[in-house]
Amino acid sequence: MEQSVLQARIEDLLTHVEKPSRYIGGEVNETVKPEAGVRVALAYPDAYEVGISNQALQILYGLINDRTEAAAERVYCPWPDMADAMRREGVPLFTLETWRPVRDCDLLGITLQAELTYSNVLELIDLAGIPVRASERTDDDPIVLAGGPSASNPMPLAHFVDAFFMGEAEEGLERIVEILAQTGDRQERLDRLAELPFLYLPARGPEPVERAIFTEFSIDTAPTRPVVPYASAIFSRASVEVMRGCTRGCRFCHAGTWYRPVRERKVEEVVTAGLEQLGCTGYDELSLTSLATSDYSGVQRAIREIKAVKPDLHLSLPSNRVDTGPVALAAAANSRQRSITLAPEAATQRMRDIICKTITDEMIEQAIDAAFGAGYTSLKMYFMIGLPLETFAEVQGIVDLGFRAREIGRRHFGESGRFTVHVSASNFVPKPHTPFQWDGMAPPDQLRVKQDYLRRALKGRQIKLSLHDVRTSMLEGALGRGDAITGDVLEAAWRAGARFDAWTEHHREDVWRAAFGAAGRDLEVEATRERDPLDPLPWDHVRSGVTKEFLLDEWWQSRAERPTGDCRWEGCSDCGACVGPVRNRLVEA
Amino acid sequence: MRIELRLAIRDRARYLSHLEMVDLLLAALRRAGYEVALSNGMRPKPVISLALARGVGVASEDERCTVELIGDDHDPAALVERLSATCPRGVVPLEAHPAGPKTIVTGATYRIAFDAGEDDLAAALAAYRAATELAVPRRSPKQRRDIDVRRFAPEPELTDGAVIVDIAILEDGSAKPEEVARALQSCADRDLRVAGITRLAVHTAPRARVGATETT
Repeated sequence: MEQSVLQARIEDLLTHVEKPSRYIGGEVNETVKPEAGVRVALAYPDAYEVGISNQALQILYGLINDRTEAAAERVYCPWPDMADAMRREGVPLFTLETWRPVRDCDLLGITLQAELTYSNVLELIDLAGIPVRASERTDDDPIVLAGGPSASNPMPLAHFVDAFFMGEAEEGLERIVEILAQTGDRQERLDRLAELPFLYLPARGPEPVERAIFTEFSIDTAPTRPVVPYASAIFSRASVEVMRGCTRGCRFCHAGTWYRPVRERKVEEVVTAGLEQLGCTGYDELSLTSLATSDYSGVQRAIREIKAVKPDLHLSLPSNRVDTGPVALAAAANSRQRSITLAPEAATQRMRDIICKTITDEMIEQAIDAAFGAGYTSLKMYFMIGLPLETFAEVQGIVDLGFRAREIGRRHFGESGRFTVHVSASNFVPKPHTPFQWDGMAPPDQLRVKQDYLRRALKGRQIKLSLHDVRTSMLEGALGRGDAITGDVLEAAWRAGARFDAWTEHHREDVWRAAFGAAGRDLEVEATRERDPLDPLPWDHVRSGVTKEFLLDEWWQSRAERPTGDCRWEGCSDCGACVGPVRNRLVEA
Repeated sequence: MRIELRLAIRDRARYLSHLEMVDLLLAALRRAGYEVALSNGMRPKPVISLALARGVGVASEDERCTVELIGDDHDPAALVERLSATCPRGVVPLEAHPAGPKTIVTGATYRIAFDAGEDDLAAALAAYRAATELAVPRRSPKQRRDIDVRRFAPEPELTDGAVIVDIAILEDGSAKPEEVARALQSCADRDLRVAGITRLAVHTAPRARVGATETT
């Protein structure tokens, strides 16, 4: 199809679909390089407003466009109304920058941030006019590469992806672009890509693959020109990644294993990048991001220096730990900011010891007190239910802590004061490469009983409760630890209409149940099944750096209800992540 | 200082919604180094408004925005220049001047282009003008009602192969240019496909002074 014809057809579609701004590109800081020799389509398998807010894709976009001869263009999963219209009118998936077909690119790179986007991965590939199964692709098709945290178990998508990138893409992306620039033939490209130690090519069998670790993170400059989304994005704010990795060792946390070791960015670099981003984006909010920003050694100095330049800036610190958070939060607080989030994860000491969350009741209460004392009027607390070894006392603990927080709030704001305690309880989903990878999810009936109890018990003024949909949690659990047969289930479900599974209005439980059934499996059994530590796991060939022996030892420690110390401050726990130049790198406070 | 900005919304930017346009202009002003004043009250909001909401997909050569900037000595020409560098593709600042007394919008002129020959368009226009009433259904999530398009846009004309139409805003409402296009389509013997709609001008009148409240 000629370019002008394609553009006219796209314009025709846009007048008939919801939120056409999802598809038009042209945002501030987008890069258009029409003459580039290598063209990469970077795709996020969810709607524009979710994908444009993803920091990882923004980093890769800048990296390719700024440092290489290649052009990166963006693609997000078209909303069902648009996807249906595209199929009806024969419009292939196109990039936002130039409205060119994705199939004409050299590489389609898809980021895997969550298991519930897997059906959208197939949707993207199919809408692009690329055969869904990798084995059916020809020389005319681009290389389909997937990366991101969920690629750490590549098996559910192994039928559909040519190559998986393991780890942090800053470390190896330029080498991939070089190979694409030097070769034209698909087979030759795949042969050359197979030589890279951090790429897994399913067609070559389960060869061991090493996670790439961006060792230069601490000295590299932070991206400063992110694409500024139109108003509908879920996050509209500048953000600087202050630190990568976390060694707290929470036993349920995938990122806690996958991004080890800890690498902190220099405070001067954080301040410069933050102020530059604010200037070139027009945002009035800056977020200092990481897995636990309050643990960043330079957090208070960074806040102080940023606020010295912009005293009224809305500065947000997501993912705060209860023990280190309140001090940093108090420093970041300003008159416009009203809401903070703390993540105790579990409400009883016993369960916190099981999951290795090394905080005490006293610390939690002090954190709540400090938060309300700093003037925050909306306190959100994250918990999980369905954790291994959970009893009803843990669920009651969430209720008790919710009311205790309200009590502390009333001490600050009065009996009928204007403040809210938001209690959020998500369902535990075991993840690969974590000490809990061998554990099963709690059965759905049990989760629903606990949710019902929370709904009944956590009622009243100044208290709000939010819960996760058990159906989507079960699917997440079944896909996350899946194997190649799960890939067949995924394809069957997608062909029967599954897409946008994370959106409750589009989630099709019946379709997934039928697809699992057709493969001789049961969705709930897959999600709740415990794995035997002696049995091989589908992701055993993926080497995260953290040894399986360490994970198993941590599993045993959880059964003994014994937490493990953080290696930043309490000595090496011998997890295996530090090798050669790869070490924890902290900045001075 | 209150400033009135005139912008053009071209190409793909015409698919931006009214709210997206407001947010986009606020960010573009911040990037250009201007601070927008906030309203008073419990929940202060930036003081910015667009004179007339534009339908998604409709381009504009006369998008009018009034914004209150902090400070009293802003050079309108410099503002246009700086804003031109910070607006996204397709959003083009044309001119700026200190805002005068408040006005009300009385109507707008649109250019509606069709993929059709002049003869077909002329026939459709003749039928349109001859009709005494042209009801076009307007659907919202809550209700469906018929709009007599003819009442708000009585005299569409054919100019340079496209329809130029003035649409009035009356006390009881107005018609959308898409509805005028649909009315024209209903008057045609053949299929008239809309190729594009552009707002050419917004018409305003001085706001009537509010006197003492009358009681009846």
